[in-house]
Amino acid sequence: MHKHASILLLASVCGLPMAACQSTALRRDVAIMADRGEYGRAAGLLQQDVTSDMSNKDYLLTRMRLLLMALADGQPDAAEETANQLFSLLRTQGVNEDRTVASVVFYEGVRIWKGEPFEQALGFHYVAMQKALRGEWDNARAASSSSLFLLRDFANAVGKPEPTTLEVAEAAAKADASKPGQGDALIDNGYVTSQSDFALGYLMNAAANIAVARQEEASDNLTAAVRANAALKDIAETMRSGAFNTLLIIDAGRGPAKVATGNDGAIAEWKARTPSDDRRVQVSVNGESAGAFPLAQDINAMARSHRWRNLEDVRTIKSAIGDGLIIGGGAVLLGSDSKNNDAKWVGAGLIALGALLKAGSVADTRHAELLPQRVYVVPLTLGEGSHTLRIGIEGSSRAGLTLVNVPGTKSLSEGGQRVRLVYAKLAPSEAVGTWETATSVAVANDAWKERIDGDNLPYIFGGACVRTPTPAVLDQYHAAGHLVNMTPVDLMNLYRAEGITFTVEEQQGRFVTHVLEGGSSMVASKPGSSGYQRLFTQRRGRYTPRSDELKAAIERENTQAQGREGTK
Amino acid sequence: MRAVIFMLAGLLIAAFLTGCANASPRTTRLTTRDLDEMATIVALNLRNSEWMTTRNEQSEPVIIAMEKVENLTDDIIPRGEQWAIMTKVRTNANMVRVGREKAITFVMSKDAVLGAAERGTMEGAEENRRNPTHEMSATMRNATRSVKDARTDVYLCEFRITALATGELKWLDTFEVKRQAFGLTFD
Amino acid sequence: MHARSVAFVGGVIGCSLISLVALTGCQPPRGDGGGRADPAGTTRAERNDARVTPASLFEHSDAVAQQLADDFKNVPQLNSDYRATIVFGDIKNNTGIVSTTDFEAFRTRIRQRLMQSQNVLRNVRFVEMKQRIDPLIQRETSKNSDLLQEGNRPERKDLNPAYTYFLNGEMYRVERGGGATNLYMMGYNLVSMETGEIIWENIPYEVKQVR
Repeated sequence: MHKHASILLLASVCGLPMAACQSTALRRDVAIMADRGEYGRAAGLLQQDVTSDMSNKDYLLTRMRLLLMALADGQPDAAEETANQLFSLLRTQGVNEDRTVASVVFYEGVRIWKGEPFEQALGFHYVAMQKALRGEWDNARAASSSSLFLLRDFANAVGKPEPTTLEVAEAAAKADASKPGQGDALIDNGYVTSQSDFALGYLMNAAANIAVARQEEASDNLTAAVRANAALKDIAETMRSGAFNTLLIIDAGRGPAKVATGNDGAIAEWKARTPSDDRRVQVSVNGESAGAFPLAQDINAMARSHRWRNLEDVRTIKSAIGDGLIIGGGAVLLGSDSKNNDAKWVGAGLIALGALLKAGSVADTRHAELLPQRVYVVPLTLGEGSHTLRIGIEGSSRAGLTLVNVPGTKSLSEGGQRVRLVYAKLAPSEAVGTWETATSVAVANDAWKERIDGDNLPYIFGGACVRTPTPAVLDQYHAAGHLVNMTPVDLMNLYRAEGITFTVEEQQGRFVTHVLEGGSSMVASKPGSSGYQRLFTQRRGRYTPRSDELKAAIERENTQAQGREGTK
Repeated sequence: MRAVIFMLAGLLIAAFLTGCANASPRTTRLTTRDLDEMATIVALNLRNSEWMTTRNEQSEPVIIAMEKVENLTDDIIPRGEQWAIMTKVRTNANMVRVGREKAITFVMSKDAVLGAAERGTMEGAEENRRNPTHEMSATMRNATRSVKDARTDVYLCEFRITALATGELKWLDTFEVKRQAFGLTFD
Repeated sequence: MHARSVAFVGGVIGCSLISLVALTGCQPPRGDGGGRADPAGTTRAERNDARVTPASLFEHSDAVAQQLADDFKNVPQLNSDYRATIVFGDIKNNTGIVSTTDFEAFRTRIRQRLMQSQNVLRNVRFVEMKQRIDPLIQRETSKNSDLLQEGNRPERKDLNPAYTYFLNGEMYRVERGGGATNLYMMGYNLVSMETGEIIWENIPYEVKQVR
């Protein structure tokens, strides 16, 4: 009785980790927002999923998603904490060392997600972009150089130039069959280390080195970029000659999805969502064509290459073990006679364990869902002042993306940079709003110096202004007869009464959706980003005040406005 | 039979043992203790340097503008940390206090002046009345060696005071620290 | 016998309970504290928050005021024939997660502490920031909207750069372990309006917070 209870207890305890293995799949509403270019709202929701618990198995994944959306929205400052934490853990070794046994016995999903090697490389790349967007090119150099790690190449071991991961696993299984342990030896040591072929990483690293005046290192990276992708020759020459002051990076398409396939769903495979092709991107500056530029990186191709993947054979072997144990357990049970209770219970235990292993052998399909399918890199020269860029994919039926108010060059003594990064993410969906092609700013903001209709009243009062309340801004309101007795501090207090924040520090380093999109932040997307284009080129519905203070202030303002109308 | 049961139990218990892993370091990033030690030692060396000890109140005035650490490592050093390191060296060396006896003064950094002008928090900041004669700066580099499950980084940080008119190095000091980490890089 | 013992014990317990109720019922009614805590202490919420604790901010502001008061006689620019002017300047906030208004709040505490010292006030006067005072002056003194036009508006008198010093702050955070450890470095200095030179700075204040 006691022994039987012990076995059942063991079997039931085995079930406990399964309940805890549910990972955080990307929310459907976030996926739709990301598809439509509503990156600010998506990031605001993703921020809620971010946990400070470093042992949470989705710690990195939630941060990767948030970083991608925050950057797409043009808010690198709000992504600073996220990027630093992502970099810190990507650089940490043996993150899953304590979970290796559990992941092999039960379910890959108990592991802390760190991503396939190509996802890690892209993680470093986006951290580099976040730093570059903040003008921190030295840190961008550090992050981009981290993306250029050596790769494991099993071509020789398998005897094929581009083996699939299944072929690598089969080679390992065959090696094991001929001599036990040889399979592990092949996986651990049977590869050749090869230089990275991450062309995008080399280009980013080159730009960073140019920005910090390290020409030789930049040149080496440009040579490596062309070696990885010969189509980049002209771009590399432009960068090498220094004939640019702006680097435009464009993401497009939906990145590949990781799905469970094969025997019992034990094998993870990557499926393209946006098909690969070699269409170029066309860019115009202030209405004049700047040329057509080739693809720098195809993420589908990275996902297909075994050198950019973790090995999948562990899951196929687990599946085989699972099948073997169920058959074995059933044989013990059937074979035992009624007097041999021990044998009966052992058989039952083996069946339970076998079933558990079989269930746990489903592949872990967590992946960075918000990656693009392709990335373009375009070196440009922009003069002083602000500019309008238009970006479109060759042969696309869509009009493409317009970016207004892209900042031009500024001298180093005025805080300018040798190279400025502009980042645009083309929304994959056809159902994007008209903001995508708008060419004029419709809402007054701190980065726009010209007057706009309705900019003499704050948005929270029904106007079209979301500028920070400074003395100069209040002067403009007063000159139009609005908020006459209000000082900047008074107006700030009304914003605070609404729970509206003005700086990333006030948001504790977190991303908060802009007040124009139903959030509570006045932190604006940087000019020259998709976020800026979406936020400030379209008028919004009226703001709904929450606090009594603001409601009272609006009433007073309306009364005064009526008084003014009456005296006219 | 009992042996089989115990073997299975052992396997399962091993699978649950997450808190019993060895405590070997997983990252080679500099710790706050490293930064503290670096600032303390470099500050001491600056105070005791020949350049400082041979100066007095009658020496030719030196006006120093500080610049943040230049990061040439493959590790991210957030902007705030880059400034914190330099500020720490200046304050640990008690430079403002000691400088009075040595005809040395520090001015606000260019970065600080630009930031204040942008925020409108310092009247006249946009005019930039600073007139530095020297610059205090630092560069951090590292050398990495790694295999698939181990990594070692040697960090070298060089601190300098340079005369802006001539480019002459008036003071130079370096600080080295080596760190190692273990575990699979990809995992 | 057994029944008597039970009854005796029950009686003792009952009497004790009655006494307890009576005794507590005799205490004067005490108001509800309403969650008030010692400002210089650290609550559970503060301990588990990554931001610098108010207790550290209190300690730092006290230390800065004390140091400046003590160092006054050693700073030549604050001991001349003229009365120097100190005005709040810029706070360079490199923490990333602590609002600048938190530091501004405690900066006013430094000023308040300094203004309690007659020694300090003999040599120094404190003037409000132009950014803050000008709108107040205009609201309180202008009666005619024409005065809102450029050149007509009442403003705070311009300061003499030769005798004016900004009280600037520099706040840094060094984070490790995904935010598990945060080292805060906070400092204030006095900067000449005329030359940008730092004439005084406080001994560095550092506090490490572990969550």
